[in-house]
Amino acid sequence: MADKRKRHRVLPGFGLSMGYTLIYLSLIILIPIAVLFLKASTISLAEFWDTVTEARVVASYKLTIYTSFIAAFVNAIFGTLIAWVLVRYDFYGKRIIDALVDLPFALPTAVAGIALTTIYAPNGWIGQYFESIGIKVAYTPLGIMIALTFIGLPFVVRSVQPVLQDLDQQYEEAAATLGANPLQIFAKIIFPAIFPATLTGFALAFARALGEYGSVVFISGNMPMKTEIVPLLIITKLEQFNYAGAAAIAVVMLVFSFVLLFLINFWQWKTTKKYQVS
Amino acid sequence: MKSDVSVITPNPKTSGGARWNYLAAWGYALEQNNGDEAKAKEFVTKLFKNVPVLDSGARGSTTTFVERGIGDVLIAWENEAFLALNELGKDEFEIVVPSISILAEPPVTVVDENAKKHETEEVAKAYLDYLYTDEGQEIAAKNYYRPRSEEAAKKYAKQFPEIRLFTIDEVFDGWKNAQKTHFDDGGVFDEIYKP
Amino acid sequence: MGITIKDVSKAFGTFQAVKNVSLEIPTGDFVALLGPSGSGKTTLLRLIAGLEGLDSGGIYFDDIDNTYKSIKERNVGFVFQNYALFKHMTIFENIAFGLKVRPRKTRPSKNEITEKVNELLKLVQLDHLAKRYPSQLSGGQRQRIALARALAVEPEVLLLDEPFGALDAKVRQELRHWLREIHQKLNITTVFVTHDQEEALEMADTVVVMNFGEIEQIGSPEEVYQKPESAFVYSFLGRVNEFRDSEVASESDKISYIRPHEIVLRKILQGDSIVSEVSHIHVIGSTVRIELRRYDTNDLFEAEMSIDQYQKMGQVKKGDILYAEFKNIVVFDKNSENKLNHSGKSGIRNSLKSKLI
Repeated sequence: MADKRKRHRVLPGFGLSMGYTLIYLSLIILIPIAVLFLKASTISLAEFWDTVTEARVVASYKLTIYTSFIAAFVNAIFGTLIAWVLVRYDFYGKRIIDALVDLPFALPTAVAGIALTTIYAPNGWIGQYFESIGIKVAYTPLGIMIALTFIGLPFVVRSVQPVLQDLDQQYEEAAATLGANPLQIFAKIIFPAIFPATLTGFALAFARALGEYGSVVFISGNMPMKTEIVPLLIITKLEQFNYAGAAAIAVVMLVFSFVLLFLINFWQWKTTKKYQVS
Repeated sequence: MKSDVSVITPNPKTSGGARWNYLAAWGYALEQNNGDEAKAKEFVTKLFKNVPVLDSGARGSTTTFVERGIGDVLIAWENEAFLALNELGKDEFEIVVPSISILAEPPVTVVDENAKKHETEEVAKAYLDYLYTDEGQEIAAKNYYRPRSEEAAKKYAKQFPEIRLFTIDEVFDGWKNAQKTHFDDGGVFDEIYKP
Repeated sequence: MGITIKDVSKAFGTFQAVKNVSLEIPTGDFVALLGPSGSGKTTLLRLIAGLEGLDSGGIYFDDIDNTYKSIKERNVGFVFQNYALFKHMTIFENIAFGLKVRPRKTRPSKNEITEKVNELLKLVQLDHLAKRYPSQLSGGQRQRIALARALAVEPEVLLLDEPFGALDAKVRQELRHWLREIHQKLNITTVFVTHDQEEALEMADTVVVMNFGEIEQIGSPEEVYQKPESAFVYSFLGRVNEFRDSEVASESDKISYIRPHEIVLRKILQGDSIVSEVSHIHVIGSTVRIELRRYDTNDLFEAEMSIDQYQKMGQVKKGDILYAEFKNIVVFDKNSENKLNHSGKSGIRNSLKSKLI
């Protein structure tokens, strides 16, 4: 175009920083993933298909996806609530609670898994009460959900918190002066404002849960067809030196995760685009 | 095999110890049924149907059984069972010894190539030799491993109950075949969990 | 609906934002709460709306005690400083919000809401923007929409917090007239907060001048400008020269003020005048401001005149000597800041130290 003028930026170095970005992403993400695809392609398509559609594998997809979804959904609700409390109220020990939220990030997941299993086992502190009303927590999908909820919590809280912090209370006050009750204010004013952030947190927590291994294997019981998650099956294949089979399952999960994250991001982009500053 | 007795053993797919457990059970059933493979499979299938938690490793299973109180029976290596008993007191659990089981031998060897590369051949060989000295055998026995040297075996005979032992080579024609028949994808173990 | 505020106080922690304020606002009045930042004017407005709870005192709308009523029950329209338009709603939805959230029993039908919103959009002359989002509007347009939204619930009292604060000068000027017109049309009791004295004087029927959480003076724009009751009001409303006497010990607790346009400059000595040297000349459209330095005390002060007067005086440039006559000096007690007297002509040539504000 004739009038395409060079844009001047305050900070120079787009070429350099973009170059670093690409190299960095390649080394850390793209190349490992490419190797994964390569490994998976060492078996024939029929073999690949058989591996990834085996009843046990399919059962583990279902289990992994639905426990991850529920865990992420629970986090979306309660994580948002925690973010709300941390942003809107001042109370004694607030900083400690704020720091606690990050603990699932810092703790080795195996430690979390063992601790959760100890508590939720049929003879554990909490598990015994569930046991007495006939609910098994550890060694069931419910236990898996608890472990996945644990590891996913920080994602939602840390996504929603800054957005809530920036949310001017004037909007709530404006709604109140217009006659809205607290429920309406939340549903029509606050929720639409924080929804994209909650969605981001949900997507991150969900993606994290899909790949979680360390904390789940202790609490799940690992029963084939019942409580066997996809990452465990991948490890199983590796233990049998079946690298291609492990890669095949990994590829399926990878593609699924990517499509899902992409869709969520796209949805989020669509919902926010129209009323962001244009 | 009673159906209301729940058994704890790790997953043979991910745990080496669990494979020994599995093979021991298989061998036991073969012995009981005069070498009938179908009966043995039936037995092992029944056994694993009574497993409520398949941990990924042997220690995990011990924890599940001992700490969480899950299951009625834990299948474990002899030394593991003794250790658990030592840790928790003799009145907590009872060790049941089968009439026949597999001889699980933790392999030990010098990997020539690696040792050469690291220039540690001498030390490695010395260590290997030490394991089979009287002193080494005694340490093993103290840790509830059955010693190979006759002298140590005699000394600690009281500690280990009489048991008939078969080896993996005798019954399964070596590890390679056992792994292929039983534990590889589509093997016997997978069939147990076929829906 | 008239508003009565009785002995209202409000503190935030140790900061006393509003101290024992009493105020009577008759129905249909257009009131400006004027003061510098931190003077408590916005807090008072929020107390009227119910956005803040008061510590003591009472707030009444006509005879209804609203002191402890919720925001909702007070039926006020509130326009926020930054408009607080809901970003995720269209302009139409923003205006309709107050009607849509009503309980089913009192909620108008969909058609009625559409009709009402369109009517309001016409009132604020923005009916072509119904489908836009707030981010697509200019500041002035957002301000009008904020007002339309506040009016949609048919409030009995309209409250505006710094309504034109964020707008550029030209739009501000336009909107001032427009808001006055709307007030005349609807005749709703209206209270707005501003720190801009010009805005208060130009728009309001009644100006309430506040400082440090207290009301300094209540009156018509003319009253507060012409007859300020305290040094603060005098100096806050309009430009002012401040003189602190230091040469006469007995009068050291007095402060004298004079507005720049009440200083007459001449090239020839005439009557009681102070010899001064021109240090700066600013021509601002139709007015001219001249900064001068007194010969006797070396202090600066400012005089203001129309461009006609300036031209009549003849050529003046920096460094010229002029004779300044002080026409209307006002003296306040320094401590109580109460007004002592209006002196007609200046007789203070030798006893004043001047300082330009």
